[in-house]
Amino acid sequence: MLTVTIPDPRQEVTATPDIRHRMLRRFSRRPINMMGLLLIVGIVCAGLGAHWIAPYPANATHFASALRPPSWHHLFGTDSLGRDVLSRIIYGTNASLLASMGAVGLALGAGTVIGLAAGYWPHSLLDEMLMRLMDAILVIPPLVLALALAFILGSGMVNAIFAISVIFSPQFARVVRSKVLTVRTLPFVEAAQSAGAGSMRILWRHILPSILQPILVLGTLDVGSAIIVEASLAYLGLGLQPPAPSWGFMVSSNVNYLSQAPWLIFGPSLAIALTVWAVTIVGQGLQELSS
Amino acid sequence: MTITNKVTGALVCLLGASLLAACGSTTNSSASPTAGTKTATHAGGTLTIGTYTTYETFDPATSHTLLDQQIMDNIYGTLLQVSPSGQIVPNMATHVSVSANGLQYVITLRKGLQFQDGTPFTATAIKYNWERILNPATASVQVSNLGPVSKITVNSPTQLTVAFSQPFAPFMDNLTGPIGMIASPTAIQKEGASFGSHPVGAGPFAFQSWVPNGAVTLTRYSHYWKTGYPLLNTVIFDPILSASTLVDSLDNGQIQIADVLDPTQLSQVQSSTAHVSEVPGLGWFGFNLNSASGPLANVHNRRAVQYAINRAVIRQLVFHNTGSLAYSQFSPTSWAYDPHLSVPYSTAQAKKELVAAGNPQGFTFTVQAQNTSKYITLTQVLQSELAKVGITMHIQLLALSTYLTNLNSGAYQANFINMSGSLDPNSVSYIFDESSVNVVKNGFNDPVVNHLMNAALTTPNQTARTKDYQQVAQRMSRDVPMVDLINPAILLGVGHTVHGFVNFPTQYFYLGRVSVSH
Amino acid sequence: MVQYVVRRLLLSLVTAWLVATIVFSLVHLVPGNPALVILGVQASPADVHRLDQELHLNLPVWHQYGDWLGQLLMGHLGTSLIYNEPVIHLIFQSLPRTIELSLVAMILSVIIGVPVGLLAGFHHGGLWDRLSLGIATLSVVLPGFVIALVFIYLFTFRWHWMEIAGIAHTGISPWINPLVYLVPGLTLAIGLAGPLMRVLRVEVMEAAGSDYIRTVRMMGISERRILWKWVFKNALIPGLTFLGTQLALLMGGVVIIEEIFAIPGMGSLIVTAIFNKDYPVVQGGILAMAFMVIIVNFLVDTVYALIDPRISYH
Repeated sequence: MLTVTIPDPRQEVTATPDIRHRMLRRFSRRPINMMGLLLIVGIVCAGLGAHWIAPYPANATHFASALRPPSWHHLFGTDSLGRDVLSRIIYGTNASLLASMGAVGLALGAGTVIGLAAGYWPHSLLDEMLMRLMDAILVIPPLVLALALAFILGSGMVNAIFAISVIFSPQFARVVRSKVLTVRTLPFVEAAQSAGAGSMRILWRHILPSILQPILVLGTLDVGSAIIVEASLAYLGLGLQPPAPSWGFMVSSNVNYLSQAPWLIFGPSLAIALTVWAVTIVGQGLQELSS
Repeated sequence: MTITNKVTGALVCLLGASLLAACGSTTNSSASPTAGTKTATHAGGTLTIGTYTTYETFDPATSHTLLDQQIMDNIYGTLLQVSPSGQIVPNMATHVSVSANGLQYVITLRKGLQFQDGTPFTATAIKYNWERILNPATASVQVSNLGPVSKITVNSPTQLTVAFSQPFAPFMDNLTGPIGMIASPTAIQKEGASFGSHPVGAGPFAFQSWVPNGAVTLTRYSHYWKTGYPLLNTVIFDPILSASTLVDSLDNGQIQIADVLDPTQLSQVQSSTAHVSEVPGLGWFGFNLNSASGPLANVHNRRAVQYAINRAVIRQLVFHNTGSLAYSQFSPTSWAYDPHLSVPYSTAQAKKELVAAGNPQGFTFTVQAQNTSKYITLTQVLQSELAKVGITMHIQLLALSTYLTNLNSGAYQANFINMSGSLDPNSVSYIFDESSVNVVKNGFNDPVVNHLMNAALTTPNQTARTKDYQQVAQRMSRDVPMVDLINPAILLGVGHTVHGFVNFPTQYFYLGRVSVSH
Repeated sequence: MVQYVVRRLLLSLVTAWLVATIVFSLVHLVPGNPALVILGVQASPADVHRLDQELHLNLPVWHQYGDWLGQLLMGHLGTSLIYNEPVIHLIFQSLPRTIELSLVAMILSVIIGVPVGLLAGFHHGGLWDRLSLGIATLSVVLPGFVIALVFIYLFTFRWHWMEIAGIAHTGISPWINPLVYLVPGLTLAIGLAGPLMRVLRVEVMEAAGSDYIRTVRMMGISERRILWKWVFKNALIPGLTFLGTQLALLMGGVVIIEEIFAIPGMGSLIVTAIFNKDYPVVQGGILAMAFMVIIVNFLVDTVYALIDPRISYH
């Protein structure tokens, strides 16, 4: 019988413990996935526990030992005010993670709502308007848009998060819409519709759970890009105010020392690269798992 | 930020009624250390000057940055000029005389001057330029450099009389600065609002092109009045925003002059291709405190800030051991300098002042600074210095435009002023200290200082003026409307191929006599 | 076919209109009176009034919006508040630099990306594949400014190649010195080449595994011939179309690269204008960049439809 062969997509999410266990095993079988995951856990812990882990306070100046190259006392050297670069990188983790995860979370939320609405009433005026708006955002160079928004709204973490989220929303909206288009014609949705369930209820109870997985994967991958966007904004001077450490800002404010003290540039750069790498690896692992 | 008010010259010249006799003819400007040893002047060629920031406008009436004026100096020339030895010498004007009561100046122009657009440069053009500055619609920053002008009369095509309602001692010096740069009235009318990007003057080089945010190219003006000059065919001012790239461009010969070197980069200049030209400046670098409201309204808190700052540390970390410690607005190069004035660095004194202020635990305020690495370092040094006595200073970094807007409107608690130098002490102090003018709106209002400033402005006697300015400096260091930190040195990188270049304490450079060899 | 192109054209126009709307609303997102924000808190009421008039901020929003679109249709983008020059002039002076830089970046990314991507696909699992994965990973995990600074560090401070690389003195046109864009272009090219390699790799793997190629192979034609005649040809088109779709991203990257290398292009123009609150330039600059992306997207779609008959035209 035909109906038997069509799986309820909800099963992917509300999987039995057994399936979940198997998926986890498949994810963990690849050592690189586990490396990425461990690195993320490590980075998050370092950020949260910066106070205990960092060898020195983030803003403790020591003028006498300014611009020292990396050594056992200062693994990543010291900056022009004699502050320990490694400690500042560790403290800077929080700003970077908070901004990128906040922005992606906001983009995921907004994009999902837009995508659900557009996909549930395809080719309606609402759909056309929303999706064309998303197209319009996508043709504006993302960094320019984020920069303009962040500057106009004023400096500060919340505004930066909002500005970054705007450039990430269209992707979510597009993915969600296309998923909804396929899901809404499936028998279990049609069954719910014929049983008289309201649109809101169908969207919330039946459609949303079945598309959660792909957008969470996309979200994970986007956190990596968001870290880079946040660092770029900070590099251009829109972000936290000194002396608060932020990776992008640590790079931009020490550009003058590129030839004399390259560790000031390459330390925070390494932190950005490692974090983005870990997030991307885990995202790709999840992606493989869901496909 | 760099407020400039390029008003320069030796005051000695002012005392004589006739400028020409007192100051003699133009001097031979071969003061560059390398220029003397090499003989030939090479006509032609291109000089590329790398600069630290981009340019805003080349309209002398509205420009307020030093860099614009360095370029304009070569497009327009100035009515009077400063010689390398610091004296005022004739330039476009051959003769300036002042009446005994100091109220009337007669300016005589060189004959046959011609603007780069072919129109004649006459006394009427000067009148036109100055009336444009005085017109409130122009919103010119140069109004103060014209002082209490009451009437401008054209006597003949080459002579005009300027009358003042009261004596204005710095006027002659001012003619070597922006108000001494005369633009073609025809071009001003033709270009309208965009004159600032299509300047026409009568200086050694004509404006050729300006890429927004990019290079400015000037070419040799063939009808320049000084026959045989300029020597160069082309001058390019190229903004190279990164301090380290600027030095590398110098080391590689892509630019021949680095204007200016960041103190962090001095060790990077390679002696095989270039040298560092360092002269003591005439400007000052100060930490401006707004006494209008908040905790800094309390003079004891301001004194606490002053005592808590170790200027030597700032000279070391921010200025990389260049310049000198400043205790007033007058640099050691200025005749108004008082060698006996100094303020000790003392955390104990600072804490005593905090007690006197009624907040022994300290207080909190926010400093606004430009978003550049120099200020990022400086603010963090100050922050950690002030923290030692319990004062919490928050840092707010701003883009230049916002920074300037806030500075000129008083919308700040503290910020920084980087005043470029002028020989006349009035021009580095009056607009900050006299309360009715005070361009930085820091709330400072001392009737005694006002009186002294105005007395010094209208007295032609230098000894009396010196006394006035030294008294001002003493009162200012007692009431601390700002903490003067450093008198910066002027640091340029000059390639060995450049000849005849002079680094002036005023930071203008005249390129008419400069040449390059290969 | 014609119908498809017309439909794409109409969609592009709608997108252009929406971009204009977003750009218009940017200034009106400013909390409070935009004129006051531009001039500063303590600006005199007369100044605020003057700027209000200048920017037509005293009219109702819908009226302003209509005016703005009308002006835009006639090609008027207003006057810069800082330079006092028509915005369109500033754009025409800056745009060539950005286009040149983007072209250099695209060409370099093809030079790097195409051979490595094709070889990686053909010998997948091999050395080339690993190299392509390495470059792709770098392009994903390193922000453009870090790549730029690494290049500057290596080219100028380590190897002293700057005369060759022409890192400084970028105020001049590459037509005079083509080398000035080498390093900035290479920086951008790394970001493009990575994903390009991965796309080509997948395409080559698919093409090589297709029934058609298997048949050809059974006919005894040499591997090299198969590679050049069928596999690469089939893989190149999607690869190059992919490049076209990356233009918006490339334009975003250009912003920070122009800042670092002091190239007076659109990126520098917009960034400076943003910090100067020169909103007419911000608006005009963003519009110009977005319109360029829209035009290129439209061309890519059309060309793609022309050469790939599989595309559906509805």
